[in-house]
Amino acid sequence: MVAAPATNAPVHQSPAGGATLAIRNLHVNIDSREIIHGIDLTVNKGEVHAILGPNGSGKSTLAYALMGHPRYAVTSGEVELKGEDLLAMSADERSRNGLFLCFQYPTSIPGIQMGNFLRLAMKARFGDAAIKTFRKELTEKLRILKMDESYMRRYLNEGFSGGEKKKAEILQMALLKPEIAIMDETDSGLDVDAFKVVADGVNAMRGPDVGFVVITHYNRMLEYIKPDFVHVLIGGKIVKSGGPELALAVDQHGYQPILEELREQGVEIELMEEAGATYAREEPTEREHDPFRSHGLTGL
Amino acid sequence: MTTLVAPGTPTELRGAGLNSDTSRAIGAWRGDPDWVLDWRAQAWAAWETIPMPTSTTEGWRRTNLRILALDKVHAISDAVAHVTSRADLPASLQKAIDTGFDHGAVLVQENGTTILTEVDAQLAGTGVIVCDIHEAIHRYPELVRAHLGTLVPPRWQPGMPSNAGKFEALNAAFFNGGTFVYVPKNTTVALPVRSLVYQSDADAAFFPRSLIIVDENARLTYLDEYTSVNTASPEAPPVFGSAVVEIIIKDGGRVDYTSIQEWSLSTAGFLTQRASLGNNASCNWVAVVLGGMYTRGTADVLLQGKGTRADMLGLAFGEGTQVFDFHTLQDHQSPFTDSDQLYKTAMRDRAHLIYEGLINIRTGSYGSNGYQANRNVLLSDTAKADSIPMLEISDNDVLCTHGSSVGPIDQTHVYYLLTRGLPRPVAERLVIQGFFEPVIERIAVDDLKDRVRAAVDRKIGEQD
Repeated sequence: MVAAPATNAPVHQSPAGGATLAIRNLHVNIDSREIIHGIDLTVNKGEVHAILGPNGSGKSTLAYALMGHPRYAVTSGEVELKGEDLLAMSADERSRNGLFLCFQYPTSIPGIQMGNFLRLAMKARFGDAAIKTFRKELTEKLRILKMDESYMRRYLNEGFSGGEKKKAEILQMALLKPEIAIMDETDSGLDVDAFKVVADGVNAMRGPDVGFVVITHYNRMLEYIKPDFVHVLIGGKIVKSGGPELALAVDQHGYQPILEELREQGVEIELMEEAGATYAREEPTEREHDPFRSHGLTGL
Repeated sequence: MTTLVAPGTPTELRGAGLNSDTSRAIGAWRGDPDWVLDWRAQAWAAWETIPMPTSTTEGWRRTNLRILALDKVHAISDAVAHVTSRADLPASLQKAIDTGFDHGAVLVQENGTTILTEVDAQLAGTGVIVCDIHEAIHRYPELVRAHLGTLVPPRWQPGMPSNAGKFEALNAAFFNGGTFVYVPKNTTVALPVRSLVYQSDADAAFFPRSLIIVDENARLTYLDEYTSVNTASPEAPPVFGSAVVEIIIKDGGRVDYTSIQEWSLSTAGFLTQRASLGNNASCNWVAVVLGGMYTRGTADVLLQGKGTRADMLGLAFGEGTQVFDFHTLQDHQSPFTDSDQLYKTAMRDRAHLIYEGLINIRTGSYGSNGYQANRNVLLSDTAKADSIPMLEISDNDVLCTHGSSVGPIDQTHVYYLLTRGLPRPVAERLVIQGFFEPVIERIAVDDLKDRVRAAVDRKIGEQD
């Protein structure tokens, strides 16, 4: 394995005051096996970064490592959130400092009412004052996400459909107003209607106050949530970065051309051997059902 | 309310230990009729005869009775003055009963003396009786005599283990305080009847004994609460007590019974609760145990009639060196009887949970269903849980399942909450509350759900 040429890593110029999220040479292990082999990425508020990559390329590992999951060990590298050492913070501190992870598979917790949980989360992030405006804000966000008030009395994600779980994640994101939001395969497992609601919810949040990292398997998501920057993550490294045209190229030709290009440059990429790690243009598997293709909504 | 019991404990009893003289003296002071005096005497004889369980006795192997210091226990407290209204109660008791919901009746007892009785006038008009057990012995002798001790007799019973009933016999020999409830046929007591048993005297034992009779097609909601004071010095022997509750539900009757034990951590005691159900009777029973350095909790339902149903729920949270020693019985004695038990506990620090639950399907109980689940969460490496679910099936065409689990708190749940900014103690507390919620959800009365939630929250929050 050889480091990807530095020329491939785009340099986003930070606005005055430093980048919102700055990742430098990040290496991550799971169970003492290195999965992420040195990632550099800078995300500022107001930007939308898409991370594309095949299964097993390390996309979710990056998300979990940033969110402080205990199983994902950062072995070297630096991450700063608003100039502070993110890696020194516990998971809850990261959240309270403005980092949010929209999970691919949100955890169901029986016995905890959604409403009570959201109130505690708001209190943790914004203090007691947030409780006063909580009701009003909640009602507004529920309306945008087409969610019924009765969700608040249900147990957290318990018995929720795939779409309901993702909406609940977006609801939390909208209420907690992160400065950096990572969305891990939020498009997976959604039917078309749920997808549109989720995408509308994200677009409603877009603006100068938040930066997004949108991790996705297919770039259908990016049709609705237009990225400013696109990065291709393969074998635990960002191998190529560019603008929206890169997503289009991946959708049309798969990852093979990128791999060939890297090979010509003499760059070796450690490909995952797990099932599903394919590098040709991907067709959706049954588990990762792609609603847009089956509904003729691809539009690319 | 007037009482027929003379106020003031004979001073000569103060400081005396547990013996036949003090047992008789309490009876005399309470003005017991002869049959009760005899009953106490029988009970004292049983206490002396039934062998003390040891660490090799089945059902007691995990129990350390040496902490009890029975030779140092004093038999009785001084009587406490009655109060005329809630406002005159000590602040702590006022706070305890002022929980924001209406009651049909409230009885507050301190050190064996009923100090406050409030019975809703409308309720009294329906023939419902709620009073002190000693008052009931004088005013309703036939009713009491026909039922007292029928479920928890003051003697060893043939067929039972040789050590069975010892501490219940001790209760009968010294019983002082307790609540009597009678609900006549076809009568529904809509609002909860509430009993609060408080031991403020750390220097004496407590032996409350309650008797609840729900007649045919009658209905009662009952909240049974126990608290005690903390001793000033940790070297002092534990405050000791043995409480007994008998609940008799006749044909077609229904009882929603919630007990909350919040003894101080310097209290070691026994809480024996047994209910019998006549034909088509049902009960929803919730045992919440939060306090006590040592609690031996016995919860038995006797499904005597056909078509009866019992829901038995239990919840315990332990910390420090608390020990919870739970023994439950779902005794199916008739056809088409259903019982469904769910006990959930969480232990932290060096707390220890023992659960032994038996479903007994007796001959002639065809068509019955018995379920039993005991789930335990250990919040530290030093906490401990021994769970022993047991089944005895002596008839066909029955459906029984039982299961138990012991494990740590689910860290995937905690992590999810952390990622939403909740500090770890808050996240863990929320997960524990969520773990208990399925038990609380099954309490039939909303006001009691909130009462139990408040008690659990108070207990779980203590560490932060």
